[in-house]
Amino acid sequence: MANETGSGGGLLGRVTSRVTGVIDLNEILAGIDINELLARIDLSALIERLDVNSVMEKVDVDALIRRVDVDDIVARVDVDAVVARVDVDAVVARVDIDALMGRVDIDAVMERVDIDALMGRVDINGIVERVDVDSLVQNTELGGIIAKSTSGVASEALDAGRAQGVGLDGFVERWVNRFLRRDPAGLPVGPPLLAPTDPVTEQATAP
Amino acid sequence: MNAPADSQLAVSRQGHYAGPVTRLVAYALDQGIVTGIFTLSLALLGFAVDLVTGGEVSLSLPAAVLTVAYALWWLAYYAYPWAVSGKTLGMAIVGIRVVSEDGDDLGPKAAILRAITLPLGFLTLGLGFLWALVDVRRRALHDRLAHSAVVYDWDARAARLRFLARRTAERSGPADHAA
Repeated sequence: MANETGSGGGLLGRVTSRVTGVIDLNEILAGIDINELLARIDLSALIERLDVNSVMEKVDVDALIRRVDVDDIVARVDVDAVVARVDVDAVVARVDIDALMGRVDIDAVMERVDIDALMGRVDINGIVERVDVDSLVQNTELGGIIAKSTSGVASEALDAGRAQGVGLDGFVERWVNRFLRRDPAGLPVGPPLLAPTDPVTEQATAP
Repeated sequence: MNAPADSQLAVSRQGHYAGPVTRLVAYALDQGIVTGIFTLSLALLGFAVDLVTGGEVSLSLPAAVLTVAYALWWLAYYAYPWAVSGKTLGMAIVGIRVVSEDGDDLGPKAAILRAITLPLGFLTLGLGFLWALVDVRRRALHDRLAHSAVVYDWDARAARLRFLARRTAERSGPADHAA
């Protein structure tokens, strides 16, 4: 049986060799309309018969990826165009923020934050200037606390007396300046270390 | 508190040159305090001597001694607080402070010089004090000699917050009681 097969195989080999020596395969292939041939093949049926998982198991994905120039691919991608096609609002709407935050270890994040550097970048004075302290005192419990801590009659009388004194000072100075024909805006308001150089009078902010 | 006081409280004058009325009130308070304490001290001293000697010796000091003692006490009363904190008791009450011309602390030498030259205001028939009215930096004669200036020292901003807090507390008070 082995001899028959071997003698049969040998015969077939010799015939094939003789035929291929006579026939020019390139000339035959050149005459075939590949497109027409492919059009007649049912690729879907072919693919259905293909065991893709089996094929994929044989593929060395790591080696394949190593051969891919990702930078080159990314460089060819128009990110702006891709992003423009994304409905960010819809994406965000689908995100469960609570669940997301539940997975975040805030303590761990905070430990990695350099608070000093962060605070160094914050304009505290700018923030404080934006706070309406008058409103804060009038509309919060802070006012009550201040009132309880400074509710002395002496304190109230002192504030009122000092305010009246400042008012009378201003009255006298206005008349003196008028008599001397002096421009009050041109007068220094205080010593250089305690008051601004420019003689700018602070404006009242009374309600 | 009335409306003018309210509007004045809104203006922070801390560090600005103090006006004549405030300075005059501070001086009047200080004179009352310095003379009152001196008189009270003499009375207590006379009472103590009377008590110790059983009324046999009465304290009667010569006018020259009393004058010198008063002058020294007066000098100490003004110079020491100015050197240490820049304000006497009267000045602290009205909320003003003595500083050097540039706004720095006055220092002991300037404080003593200012206290010594303060009476020049009287010796010039008040012209030394009135100088503060026409001087652009509100300096009287003794201020010019001691290179000093007087500024407001009270925190008007804090005073306004106290005023607002009191007003809020007064408004909410009756409601709280009603509740």
